[in-house]
Amino acid sequence: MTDWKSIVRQYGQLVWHTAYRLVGNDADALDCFQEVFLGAVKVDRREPVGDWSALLRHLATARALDLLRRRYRRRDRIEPEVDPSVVISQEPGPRQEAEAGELAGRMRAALAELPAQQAEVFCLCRLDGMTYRDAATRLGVDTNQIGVLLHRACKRLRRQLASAGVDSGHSK
Amino acid sequence: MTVHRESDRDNLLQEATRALRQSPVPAGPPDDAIAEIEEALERGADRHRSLSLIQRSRAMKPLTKFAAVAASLLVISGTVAWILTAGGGSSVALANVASVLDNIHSATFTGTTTKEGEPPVTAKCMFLEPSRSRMESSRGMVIICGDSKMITLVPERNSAFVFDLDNAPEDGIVKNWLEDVREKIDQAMAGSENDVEKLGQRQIDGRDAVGFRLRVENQEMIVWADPVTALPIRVESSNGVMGPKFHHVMSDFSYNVDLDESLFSVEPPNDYNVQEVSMDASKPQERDFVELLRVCAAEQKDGVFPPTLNGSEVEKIVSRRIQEEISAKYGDWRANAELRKKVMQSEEFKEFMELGMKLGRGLGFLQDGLPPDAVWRYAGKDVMLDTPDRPIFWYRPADSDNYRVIYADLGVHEVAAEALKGFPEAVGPE
Repeated sequence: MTDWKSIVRQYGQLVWHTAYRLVGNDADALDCFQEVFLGAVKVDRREPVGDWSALLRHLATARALDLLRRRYRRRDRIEPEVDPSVVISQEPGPRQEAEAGELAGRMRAALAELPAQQAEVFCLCRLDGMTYRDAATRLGVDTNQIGVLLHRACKRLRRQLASAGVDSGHSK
Repeated sequence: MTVHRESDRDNLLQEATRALRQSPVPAGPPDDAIAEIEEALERGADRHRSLSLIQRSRAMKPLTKFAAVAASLLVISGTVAWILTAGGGSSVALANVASVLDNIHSATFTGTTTKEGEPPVTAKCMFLEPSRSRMESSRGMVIICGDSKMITLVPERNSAFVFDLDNAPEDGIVKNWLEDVREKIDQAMAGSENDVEKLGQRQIDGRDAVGFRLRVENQEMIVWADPVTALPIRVESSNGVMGPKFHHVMSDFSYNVDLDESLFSVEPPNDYNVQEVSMDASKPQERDFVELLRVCAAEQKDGVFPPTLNGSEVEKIVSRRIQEEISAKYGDWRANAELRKKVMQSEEFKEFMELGMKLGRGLGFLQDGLPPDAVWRYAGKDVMLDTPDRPIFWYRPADSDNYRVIYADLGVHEVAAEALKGFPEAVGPE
């Protein structure tokens, strides 16, 4: 029987860090934290889990991206709302930090607009440094497809970041 | 105009990736969250519930907390207004229905579409956030949509059509059906008070239900929701452009169900005959509609524009083309597996598919390309292609006082509203 207590203790911080970095605020990170472990229970019932770290990182990334998508979709639907994570990052502090925070906010918005699989591959490979092979195993696709998805993700992100920069007057 | 060179864009992506990778993360998770999830996991995950509103509020940053409080006040005031104004019986407000739909990650339901004058077609429908869908039609066809790829399977004939979609919308090619319902509710609630009619409480599909009739963009949608959970039980809508009306019903819902990823695979089974087609999935434009008009007139006898423009007219054109070009060459290809495989790999078939898609995009302009409140008219019946100075279609684009007019020579001009007075009799979307 799975020792959930020790899994939560051992990997809780990894899940929290992975989710928080993407969603940028406590409330959403907490939601992700919960959903990831509840999702892990379902996976564990379905199949034996060999690599808890990879599974939980994958689930945390996927759930955080879901939340980002919902956040930005709702924002579009209701009213222009400032990304809370951007506001937080603009609290008084060194200018460099504020700029990095703003850039991270733009990156979150751009990731929210990517197709789910592209966004996930980008996060796993580029943010978490997962190898193509590990990402392929995790996502159940072949290694070549990871390369294609990553290529497409980067292409779209470049375009979106550039256009967001123009829109907000931050282009280089 | 600012031009971004590729190297600039590369740098920007690298910087943004670094910024996100290094963005500060506070120590966590909080001890009470760890304790709560441990307890939930120990007593069985299925019985675990999400954090309460108060718990969430406590964890939020000031801005988010304010937003949550404001949202709660809106829901509460909406509910109070509903209680004060309703005739009694119903316990759920439309805002509640909209709100619960936000928490749906997956669903299955039965979709029934009835074309005027024809028997209904049913489909078992499934969707998984954000934009994956699967429809298993009672006619034996399976349609699966991913982010930028769509596949149609015909198991009875071991055939598959794979559509690679260029310019697919960022949020997927098929709108999440429940998201569509959610949007209609938002639009109706934001409109005039006539846009939402309360239908009271009734038995729907053997269950108590509270009903709302929504009027959005000249279309009606009826939502029947569970009076306790506010989840939709049945959703009905109608549409139809210049032709037969279609009535759609969504019923037998199951929400947040476990759906195996393999159900949404857009890869064809190994033993299938596969036809791959590239398709432009961007929003249909006026030029697509002009092309539809051109093909319709060119395919009609005597080169005149058809009486109406709808799916049935387009079906006729495509069927005739198949009959003339493919069946004439290959005979009864549908009944013979070998022949069918040959046809599906032929240039003629590819052309036929492309024609169908081209015409579909033209029709799509009427459905999705025009602004929601666009007023349009068609007056092409029996008009010969290239007749000079003869308007056949006109519409008013969003935020414009002028109209775009398409003439029989397929030229497009912008004219003032007063100029329409002398235009011929025309039919519209109704």
